[in-house]
Amino acid sequence: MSLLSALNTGLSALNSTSSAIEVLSHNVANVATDGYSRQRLDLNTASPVNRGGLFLGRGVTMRGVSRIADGLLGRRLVGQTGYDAAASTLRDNLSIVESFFDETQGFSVSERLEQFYDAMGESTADPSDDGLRMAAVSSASAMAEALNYTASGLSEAVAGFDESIGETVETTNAALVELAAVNESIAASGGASGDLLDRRDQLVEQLATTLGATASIEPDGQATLLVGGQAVVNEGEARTLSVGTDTNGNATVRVSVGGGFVDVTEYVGGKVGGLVESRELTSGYLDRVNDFAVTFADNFNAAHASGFDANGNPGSPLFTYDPTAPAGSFSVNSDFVDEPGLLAYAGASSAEAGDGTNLAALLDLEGAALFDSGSRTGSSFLSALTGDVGRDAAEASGAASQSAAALNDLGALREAISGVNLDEEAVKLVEVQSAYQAAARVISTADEMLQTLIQI
Amino acid sequence: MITRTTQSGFTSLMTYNIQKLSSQLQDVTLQASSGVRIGAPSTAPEDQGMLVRLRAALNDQQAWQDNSEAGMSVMGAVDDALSAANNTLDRALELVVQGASETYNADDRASMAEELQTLRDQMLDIANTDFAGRFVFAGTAYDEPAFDADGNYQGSSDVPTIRVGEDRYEDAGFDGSVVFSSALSVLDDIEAALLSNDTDALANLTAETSDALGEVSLSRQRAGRGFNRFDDARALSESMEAAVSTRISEFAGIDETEVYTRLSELQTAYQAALQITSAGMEVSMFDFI
Repeated sequence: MSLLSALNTGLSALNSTSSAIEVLSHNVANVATDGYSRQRLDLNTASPVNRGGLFLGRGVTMRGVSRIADGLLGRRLVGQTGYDAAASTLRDNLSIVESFFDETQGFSVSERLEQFYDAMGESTADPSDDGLRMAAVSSASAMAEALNYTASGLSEAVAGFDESIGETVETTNAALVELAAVNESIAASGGASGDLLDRRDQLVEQLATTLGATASIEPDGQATLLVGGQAVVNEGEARTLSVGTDTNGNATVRVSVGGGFVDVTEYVGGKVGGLVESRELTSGYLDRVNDFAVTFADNFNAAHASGFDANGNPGSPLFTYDPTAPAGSFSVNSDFVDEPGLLAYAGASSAEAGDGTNLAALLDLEGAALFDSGSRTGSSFLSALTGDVGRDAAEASGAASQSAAALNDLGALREAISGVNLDEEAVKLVEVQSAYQAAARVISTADEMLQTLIQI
Repeated sequence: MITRTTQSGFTSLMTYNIQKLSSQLQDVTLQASSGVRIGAPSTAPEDQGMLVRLRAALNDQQAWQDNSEAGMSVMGAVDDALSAANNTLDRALELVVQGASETYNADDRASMAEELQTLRDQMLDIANTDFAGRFVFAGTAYDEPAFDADGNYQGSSDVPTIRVGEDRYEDAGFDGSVVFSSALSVLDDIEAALLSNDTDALANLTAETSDALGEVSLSRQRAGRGFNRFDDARALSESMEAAVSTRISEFAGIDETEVYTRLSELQTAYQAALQITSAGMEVSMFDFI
């Protein structure tokens, strides 16, 4: 009887080592799988049997396959993933946006503005000289082109951010639906497998990346996801997000609630949050470029109207713009390109060739504090804007670096706890192999002993 | 402290470090190859205002140099013209002194009158000096001759100015009426007196001729001073341009020692990171079982 028990004990060892090698194989197979948490076969000593006062062991039983993970670390990692996605998205976007304000490439608005005033200043050598007037008009056109280039670049960037918000929300919706399905599977299975929980965590991390949303894990393993107080995933139900527009035409992120929508734009983080912030900052830059265009054109045209052109007529507007898109539509009145004599340099209608009275007044505008409610010159307004863009881009870059470093640290911690170490698995492989061989030897020996007994 | 490492963790860590080093290496290489530390606004946001101001100052100095040189050309033409006017009046003064002398007869004076007519025409031509399409003695009305054939001034009493500094404008031309009206008038009077053989009138015209000559001399001095002011402005702009250029180089340029040392450090660190990554992935327990 005891020899037969020994056979069963050996069998339990064979079974457990077979399962152990399956778990080990699964770990090795997923060594490069993102978000995979290593698994472990949990074993218990089988309950002993009392035989005449002797408690004899009956081998090993398998308690289950557990997933090696730290819940608190996982939550920190998810949160940091959201911050990192937002920060890196903002950094990448602003690095593109700031190129429109680069003062070292020779096409900035401020440099073209300087060149325009310098060209007009050269007209003081001979206000009647059509060549010098033409040079001033050409410089004005070059400045208009720089404004158009900057404005169109910023407008396209804003439109691109809105488009990316829409695309990312679509991807997010698919993840929300899948997370709800995973929740259902977890609920249905009773005891969720490590792989199912890994998939849940991968989706939670993906949603943190796209939305910056944090999930709470319920006792049964299901994830609940909130955005702006609105549950977007609750048990097996997902509420999809949609993109709307606010009164300024900016993209908004909405959650379907009942028959309507709740705007959650301000609560969204992650990549979408980074895109929203990129859009807001870029729109702000565009507004300031538009302010410059309007203030410059209005003041210049007003001063120009005080003078008289080469024909003795009052100055007509040199600069034109569409109030709905001032910088993008900013241009030089084409009449001036054909007839630079229309520049109103003279101070009187009976203009003499060398009368540069109004030219001097126009040149004085360069140093006049007309911008920012009369606190800045045009040049300082633009350099302040460039400085702000640079500061925002530098801060975004710094924040992204810090965030990436923090995420890297947390990722390393997660790897330290949950990652697969091939050396460990190799050692375990040797251990399991040896255990299997030993168990087989025990069975073989018990069998030999039984044969001996039978042959008596 | 991390006590357990994994292949995936090692790969992630080394990838992160290599990317970080690569990014830093790219920034420093860019600085070393361009010689400037300021690139996109984010490289030095606090310096953008100064950069724009320095560049504007440099452009201004260059424009003001051009304007100063244009002014020097105009005032040089004025000086040449006034020098010729001075010579013409000198000769006219000789003729009026000779004409007033009793040693000459009426025929002599008629001959002198012919020369004087030529001198008067010369003086009108001088008064209507045209420098590159600009009648320099017509004031701000310099697109038309300063005087008509009868010697009447048609120009402006306003003098054109050229901008040569932030708030600095210099006169570039003359109100010709001040210089030539009396000269042309006295030449007409001398010619008339010579033709009418009026020695008394000629004697009286000697003083008027001297006065006209004095006015031309005075104007020549003014023109010289005007030329010098443009020259001073040009020299100042040249000097300022050099100073601003130096300042821009100092401000926006790199500290070569610092940048090249940093470049060397990063290159070494980058190579080390690559070697460590390669070495760290070479050995595995699976090689021994």
